[in-house]
Amino acid sequence: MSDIRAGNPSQEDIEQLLPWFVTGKLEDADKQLVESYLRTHPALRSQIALIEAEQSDVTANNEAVGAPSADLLAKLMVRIEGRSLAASPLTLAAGWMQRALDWLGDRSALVPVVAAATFAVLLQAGVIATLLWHSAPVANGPKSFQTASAPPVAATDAATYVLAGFAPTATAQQIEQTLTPLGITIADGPKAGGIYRLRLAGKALGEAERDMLMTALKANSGVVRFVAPAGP
Amino acid sequence: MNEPHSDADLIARLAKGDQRAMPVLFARHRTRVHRFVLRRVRNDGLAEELVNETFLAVWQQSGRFEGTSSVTTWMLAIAHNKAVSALRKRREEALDDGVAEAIPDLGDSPETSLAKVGKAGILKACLDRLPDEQRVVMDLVYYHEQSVKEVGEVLGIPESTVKTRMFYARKKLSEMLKSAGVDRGWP
Repeated sequence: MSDIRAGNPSQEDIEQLLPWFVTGKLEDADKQLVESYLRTHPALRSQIALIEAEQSDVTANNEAVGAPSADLLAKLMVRIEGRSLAASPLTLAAGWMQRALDWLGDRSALVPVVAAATFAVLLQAGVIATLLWHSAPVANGPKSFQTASAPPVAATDAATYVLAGFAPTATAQQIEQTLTPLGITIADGPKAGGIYRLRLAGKALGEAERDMLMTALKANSGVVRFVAPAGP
Repeated sequence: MNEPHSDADLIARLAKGDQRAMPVLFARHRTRVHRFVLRRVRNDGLAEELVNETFLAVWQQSGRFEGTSSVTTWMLAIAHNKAVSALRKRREEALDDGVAEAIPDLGDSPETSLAKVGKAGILKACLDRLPDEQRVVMDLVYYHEQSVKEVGEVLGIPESTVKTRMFYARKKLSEMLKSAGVDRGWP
């Protein structure tokens, strides 16, 4: 409880409370004290406009600060999980692309066309390889790499899925950085309309857990266009 | 019992080892924590490192969260301690040098200062030039909308100190504005 409630508050006592009076963060008793004082000392109301201007500019100064890097969550989750993403299939895919471009060598006329096609194929391969890599059993030993042509990991009937669409501008790396920390993999897609089926977990999640993961996906609005529940 | 997906619920999930709660908590609070620490240390790389350290500490200490304060206040307190430790490691002169380029110099005559940033920009510039211990209180009160008690919890100071620090920060602001040619009529 505020000490000033016991006696007659001075103007300075009230002035000290005014910032929280303006932000609506005063306890009820202090709020009543300020309101009562302002009724008998209306000149003090001029300070409220000053405080509102201060709040507006402090907010503007804070909002001028840029957002943290997009990969910060991935770095955090790596630290939390105590494992490295260095062997991500995307790294391997990039290596393949370099080798493909090396092979093209002096076939200069073909380079732009073939390089673009190669990149598109490898980009998709990277995404698919990533999802398969993350789908591989991890109970014992390090994660193993599995190619897209290998037999898929059998999905259990109890697994939980959602449907999602990615932003047209989202890169494979951004998609990976969004899905990997959540333990989510791409199970199927793209289907008509660019819709993917995402596997949230290999077991049936409760509604609360499923919604939590959907909320986490939606939080990355620059990468994920929409998320909707899906059947098993 | 905590509301599903509330901050407290996410912390409880972390405490039980459910790491999937972290991305949700991170998405919800990363901007707030990042802005808070970046305005303290004023270095992008260091700020990101401190954001990472803060959330790592949240995960490590989730089992000790008692719910006596809000999760936001608790996280800001962790971030504050991380920032203070980082600032201790750096020479203050070096920090000030880095800041000086980003903020209009108000050491000029009032007319020159006004001409440089305009009347509207003077208040913003002065706010950023307040001493760190006063600026952080203003940030916590005005931007993070923390109560007197919560500011005290974040900074580890008594409530009476919170109120006087805010009061003197506002007075200092008025003095700076006056010297830059803007008289607010208070104090």
